Amino acid sequence: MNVKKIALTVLFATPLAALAHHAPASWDLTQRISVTGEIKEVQFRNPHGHIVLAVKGADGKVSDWEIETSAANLLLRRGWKFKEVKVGDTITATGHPNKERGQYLYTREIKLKDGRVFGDPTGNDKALD
Amino acid sequence: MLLGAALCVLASGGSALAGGKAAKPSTPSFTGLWRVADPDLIVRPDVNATRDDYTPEAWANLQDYREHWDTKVDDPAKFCVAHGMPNTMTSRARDYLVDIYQTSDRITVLVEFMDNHRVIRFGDAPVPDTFAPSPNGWSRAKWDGRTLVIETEALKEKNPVGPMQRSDEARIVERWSLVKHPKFGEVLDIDMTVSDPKVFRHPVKARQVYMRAEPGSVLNHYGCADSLWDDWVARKQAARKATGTVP
Repeated sequence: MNVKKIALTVLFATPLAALAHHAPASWDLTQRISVTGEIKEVQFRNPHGHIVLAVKGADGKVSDWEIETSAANLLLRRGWKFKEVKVGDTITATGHPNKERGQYLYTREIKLKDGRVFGDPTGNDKALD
Repeated sequence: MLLGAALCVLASGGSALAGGKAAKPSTPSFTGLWRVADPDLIVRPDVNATRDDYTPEAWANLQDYREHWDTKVDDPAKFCVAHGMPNTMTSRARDYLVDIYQTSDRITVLVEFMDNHRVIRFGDAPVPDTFAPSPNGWSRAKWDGRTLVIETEALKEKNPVGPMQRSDEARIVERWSLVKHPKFGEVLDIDMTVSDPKVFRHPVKARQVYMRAEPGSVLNHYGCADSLWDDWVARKQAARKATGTVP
């Protein structure tokens, strides 16, 4: 594979987070699951943010889960403190699994190691925003 | 008798009698920060309209979009393109704010979602020749009692690929009124009638109900396109790293 081909492969294989803007049909709103792991990446922004969690499976192997969040503006208004969600922290994310991709979650709330919860107090599972 | 007359004046909106002449009835102010009261109260043509409402061409466009495009990805909103009217006023997303400034000659509406805005001018001035059709169009308003009636035209035609269609012939009439709601307090009830002969066989309805935002709420920048640019840069940087052109 020449250099140009490698570059193109990387360019198109790298997810474009804004294009991953959630579509309600992509998520199973009838289910909520929780995963606990260490934050590898975190970015809060509009229209959506994301967190990458390193999660240890039942077999002891660690693999990445992608956690999509609601818009930064909405999370701020719901009481999330972004500075308190940092790379290296362990959190539990609870939300709706993606219908098409494994280890991909639309989060409704996260629980920090000290027990505090950042969530969506007035939300319901009828719609995403 | 006098007391009865005074109560009638108050009940009619607080207008005063001056010099024996009936003063112009007071009109409400919509100024303030608002948010969606309840997504279940919203009516949207793109959600509620059925085949019988669409023209054959528009229905065919919609079916083509649903069947041959990936609606989870191929959506202008995912490219930070705001849909424009009537959807500017029918967002279902909770907690986004709408900031309304009403003055004697205009109402300016700042919509947090997508950093969108509208200008609604009082009076009946026609669309200026220098006005370029836009997603939110040219809006003029007049009072019908305590209800504000807003007519919007000069709307820009939307690309027919997508969940919402709008032609350059679209016209929208909104009726804004302040209403006491048992659960949400004072609400801004917006009733809309959308006429678009290229898209709908007949006028269709839309509705939004805004409640007052919590005191201290702040309208924030949205910056959707900022995220697109950041992603583009990240992808280019990843490509540069892969080819060893970044130290």
